[in-house]
Amino acid sequence: MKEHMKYQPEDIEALLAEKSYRELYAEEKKFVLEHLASQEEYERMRETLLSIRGGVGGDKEDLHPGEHVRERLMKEFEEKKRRGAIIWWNGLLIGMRDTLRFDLPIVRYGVAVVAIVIGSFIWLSRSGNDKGNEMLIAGKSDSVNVPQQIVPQPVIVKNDSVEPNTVPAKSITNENIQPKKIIAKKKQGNANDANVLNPSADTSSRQILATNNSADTRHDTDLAPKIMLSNSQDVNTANTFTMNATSAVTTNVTSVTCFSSTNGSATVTSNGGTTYDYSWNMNGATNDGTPAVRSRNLGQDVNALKLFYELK
Amino acid sequence: MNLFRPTYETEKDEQLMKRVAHGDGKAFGVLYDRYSSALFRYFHRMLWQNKEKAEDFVQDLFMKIIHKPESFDRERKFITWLYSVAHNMCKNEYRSQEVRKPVREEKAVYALAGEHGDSFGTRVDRKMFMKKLATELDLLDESQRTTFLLRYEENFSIKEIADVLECSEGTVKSRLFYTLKKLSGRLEEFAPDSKGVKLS
Repeated sequence: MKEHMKYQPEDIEALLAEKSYRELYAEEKKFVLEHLASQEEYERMRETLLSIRGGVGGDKEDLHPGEHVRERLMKEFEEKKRRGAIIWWNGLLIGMRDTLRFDLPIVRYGVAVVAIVIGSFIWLSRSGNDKGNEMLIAGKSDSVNVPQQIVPQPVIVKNDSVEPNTVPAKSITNENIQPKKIIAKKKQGNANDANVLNPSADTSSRQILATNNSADTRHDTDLAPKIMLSNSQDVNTANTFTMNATSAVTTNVTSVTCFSSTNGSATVTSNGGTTYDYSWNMNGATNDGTPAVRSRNLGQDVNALKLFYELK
Repeated sequence: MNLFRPTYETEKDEQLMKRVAHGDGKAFGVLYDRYSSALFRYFHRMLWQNKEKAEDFVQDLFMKIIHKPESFDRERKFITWLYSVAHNMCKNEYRSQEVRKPVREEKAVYALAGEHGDSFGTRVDRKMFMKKLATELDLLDESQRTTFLLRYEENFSIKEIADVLECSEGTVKSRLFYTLKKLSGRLEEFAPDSKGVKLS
């Protein structure tokens, strides 16, 4: 490799600034003449360079912005300073950036982990609050006049052959019944209270859970399965009825059972395969729309449901 | 009392910038005093020797520092960051003035031709040379002009220019070489062996 190959054409600038053509080494002259036409061109460029260096720097003192620019800027700065929160925020951002060294992967991962932990903590706290609220409501109800009872209830066997959306109920049979504790929440009120909703209603004990497709089970959240009681049933005479799924996000109602005129239960399977058991107790009917029955949510992915029903 | 408290004037730009972000007006004033004149010259050269425009640009640039101090990239030297912002402002201005550019170039060429006619064969003083140089600089493309001014007016190192323009040092050197070659051809009358003028 030739010695002069260590030069690049742009390196001539350095030579121009330092040496006249006569002062160049033979090797440098050779290099220069590879990129410039002649010694004259080299000298002309050198003269231009030196003139520029001397000339451009010569009138620096003559150019300054007006004093009013400085005054205006200082005024603007003070105005912004008055809006202290922004300054504080800028300082915080810069401080965090300088302190945390986000360029290091370990710092980035660390921040991500901290964010996840904080997020989980908040989420769990909220879940805890919801459960706490439920317990609080239950406790409040109990404290009125009906003590909380632990009642053995049957577990309703899932009926796998049931069609989606329109699922006939299945009666409980003795062999299906297994002991299980379900808290049946009762609220203040009685059947007569329900009549306030509809003064013309029969005041007898015949309680209708639903008229055709009108009585619905309302849900706490959009995530919860929506189900509807589709059949008018005289719960005093019939011990089964049908609940239809009305929400695309859920559900197959696999079985519904009414045990008596005042209580019953249902099992609902979500599309995800999660099974939810519902129970209700009509003794808890009130006229203010308060849920008489709180469902038992056995799943993990939806909040507890509240079953409402309409009285006639 | 803190006996070792540094004075603002001796503090580094980066440290002053940190103070500015925390609302220190005096630090801002020191930064302004350090760089306003140099930036004004730079804008003046880059924006067709228009003093009003140069003043506006200096003000706009420092306004950015006031309102977005966090945009300062702490990985870079303050001065190169500052000039890269200035450079981008000029590029934006060129874009917005694109329609007017041919007219301006035409004017510059005519002006140069006229001056050639008037001064050819006569001895020209430094002021005349600078005037011609300024005209020639206006005819250069934006990247060549910026490189040239940062190198010969602001005395930036090759590395600093590369940082401002976000290009390689080789590119900077190359631009300087070809700009110099171009200028020496256009300012030939000032060369020592030409029949034209000799710079005093």
